[in-house]
Amino acid sequence: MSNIELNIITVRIKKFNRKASGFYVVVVAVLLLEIILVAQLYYTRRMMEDELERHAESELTMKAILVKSMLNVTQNILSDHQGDLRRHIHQPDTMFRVVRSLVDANPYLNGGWVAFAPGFYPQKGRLFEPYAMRVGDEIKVVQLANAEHDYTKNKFYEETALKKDFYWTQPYLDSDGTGAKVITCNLPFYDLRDSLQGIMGVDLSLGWLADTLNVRHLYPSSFLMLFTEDGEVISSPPSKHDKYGDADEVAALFSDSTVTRVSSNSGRSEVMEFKSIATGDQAYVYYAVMRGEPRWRIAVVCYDDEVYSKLYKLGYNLLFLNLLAVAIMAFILIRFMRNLRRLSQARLEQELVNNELSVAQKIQNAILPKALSGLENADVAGSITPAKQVGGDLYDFFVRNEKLFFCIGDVSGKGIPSALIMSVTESLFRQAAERESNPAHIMADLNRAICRNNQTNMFVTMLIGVLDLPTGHLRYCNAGHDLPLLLTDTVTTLSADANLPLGVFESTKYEMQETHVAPGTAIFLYTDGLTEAINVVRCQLGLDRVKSAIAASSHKTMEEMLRYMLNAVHEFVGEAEQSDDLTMLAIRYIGGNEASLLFKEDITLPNDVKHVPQLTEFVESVAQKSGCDTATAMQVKLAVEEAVVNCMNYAYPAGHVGNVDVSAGADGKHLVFVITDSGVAFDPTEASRADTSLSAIDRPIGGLGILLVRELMDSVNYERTDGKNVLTLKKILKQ
Amino acid sequence: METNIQKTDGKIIATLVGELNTAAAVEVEQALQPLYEAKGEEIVIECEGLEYISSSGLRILLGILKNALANGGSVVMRHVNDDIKNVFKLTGFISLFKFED
Repeated sequence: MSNIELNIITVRIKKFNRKASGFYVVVVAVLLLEIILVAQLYYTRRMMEDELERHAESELTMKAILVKSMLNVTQNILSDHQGDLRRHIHQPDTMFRVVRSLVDANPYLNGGWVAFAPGFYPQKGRLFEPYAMRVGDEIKVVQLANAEHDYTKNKFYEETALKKDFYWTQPYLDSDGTGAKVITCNLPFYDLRDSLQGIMGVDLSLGWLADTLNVRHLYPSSFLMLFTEDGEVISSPPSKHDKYGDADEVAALFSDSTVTRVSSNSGRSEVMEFKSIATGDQAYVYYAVMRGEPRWRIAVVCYDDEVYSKLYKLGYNLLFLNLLAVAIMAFILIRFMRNLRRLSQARLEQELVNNELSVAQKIQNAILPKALSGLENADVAGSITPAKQVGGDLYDFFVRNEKLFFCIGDVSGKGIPSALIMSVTESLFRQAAERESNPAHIMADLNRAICRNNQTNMFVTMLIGVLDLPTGHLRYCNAGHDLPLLLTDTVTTLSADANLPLGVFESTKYEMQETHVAPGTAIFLYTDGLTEAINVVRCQLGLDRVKSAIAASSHKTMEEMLRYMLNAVHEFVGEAEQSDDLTMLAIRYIGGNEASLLFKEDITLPNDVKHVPQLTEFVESVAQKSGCDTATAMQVKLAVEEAVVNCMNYAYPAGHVGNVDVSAGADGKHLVFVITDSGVAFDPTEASRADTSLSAIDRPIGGLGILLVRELMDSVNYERTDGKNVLTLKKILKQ
Repeated sequence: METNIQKTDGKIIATLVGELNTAAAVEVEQALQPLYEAKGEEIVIECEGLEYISSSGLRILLGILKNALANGGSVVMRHVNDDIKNVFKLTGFISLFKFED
């Protein structure tokens, strides 16, 4: 049993390990796939970053060229108009036409002017500044300078005069003119002596610049910005742009010196990482310094989600595919593990069943008697060889009241169901035979019990025998079983009418048969597993081979005979698999040994109790001859008196005269009395026992006689034979 | 088989001598008839001379006992030998009767 428990524990541990290893396989697979996925995404992102950098740089370069060309165009307009200015420099009023044509030259110019050096036209006063400005579709021309508006005090005037070349201002709000945000390009002009005559200028609309720059984007949400060298915003995205709100934050980034700036691979641009405080959006800000004057910076803002949107989409797809793959793998794995578990479960169960079966086999073998010890007038041996671990065959034998009860049976089918019926039948036989000596009655009892509980329509063929050991009188009842063989000088078949097997109909009537067995005769009972044992060429052993094996072992003991038979079967069958349970029961009747009797005496008494003193005298003399002590003598006397009085009183109908024969004998070990009457059949051994525990008031008068007989004698055997009641009482003599 | 009945001091003493077998039982039953008619007296059955008793003898004693108990009397078995006591034991009568030596 401890082995089984150990097995279970080991299997549980194995099972646990298997379960855990399956789990680990899935986890490792998921980890691997995810690592691969992350690596893929990382490298793809790196690749895309490089790609983005290239795109951003080319965008910056392109837009820088665009801005530069716009600035050049603006500067050219100023240069072009310088000739016109010089030609008409002596006609101050013509200057209004010149500034008008300046603004008219290009639609993105908001205003144009000429600010003459102080006192250049004495007739115009100290300051003179003709100014043209675009108001809707119209161009308005005014003289802007006055005492409050002293352009000579403006920064641009000084700077331009100082620079003596094109000078671009910082962006500013054109409060004097259109009120729009502008930057101004200034160009000084000189006389032949290189003395400053004045400064020409045009206002370039920043809104227009922004529109132009943001005509087309690298990504839908990306935008371009333009900064002065000082970081002041020249151009923001148009207000209708989705990310217009981020422009100020990006601008702040430029004036923040703590922000990390990373040079691009080409070294042509730098990049900053940007995270919007307002929206949380993340972006890269690439920027480059434009070549030549002015040294503006141009920046392009690219949002991560757009840059990497494809990557993210790819990532999600891959993740989904990975999860799908893992799910499929897990499914396959689970199925695999389950199958594996089922297999091992089945193996475990098989093991348990085998263990249980071997226990069951031991139990089955234990309930079958092997031999009877101390039995002098019979030799009995049984053998059972199940085809599977447990079998549906049964046999049994035991002695009660000088009678050998035996049976052999074959439950239809094999294996566990048959074994269960077999066990039930065996114990039913024991129970029934304990209280009943008539094999037909025992058979009927068994049949009723089996029919009542027979839900599986199994049936049992059986032969029950009751061998009266003192007389050799054999009573038997056959329920569809193979006929027993009788071994005397030859091997013959015991004729036994086949009744229906047990378990077929509850109402079946079982007929008893009787015969007399001569001392020395052997009765051989078997199940069809013997005669139908099949060898490798599918040939059956057959009854003739069985008979000759019996004949060949006729001189042996019953146990030896069975062993001889089994050997014969094994030899015949060879390697072929045993197909049916093989059961044998052999009984040799040795018989009472008359020759060993020390003496034998008889007395015949009429059925009248007044003859009891004669009986008493007879028993006393027998007891004395047998040499038993006085106490035993009194016990024997009492028992015999009770038994004989019983016959006298009840064997014959009232008023009917009949005899009771008493014969007595002793063989040194036993004192035996055989009481015979020809009255009605009555078996005192089956009469109910008196209840000796009742109080005086409740004690019935009667039943004491038979109680005393049973208590005082060592064995009491009743047999109805030849129309006579034969009661054999035995007392073991103390040595 | 000999029987003798004596009545003294409200006691009935019945003396049984010999073998009380089935044949003797009829005669003994008649002889002991006064015991069946006892009205609550203490009955003593003197068994010193009793050598043997069969179930029919036990039956007589049981009858006497039942009657005595019904009338508030009692039955005492006196000087019962071991072999006979064994018979009482086997039949369970040992617990029904009182025994005296």
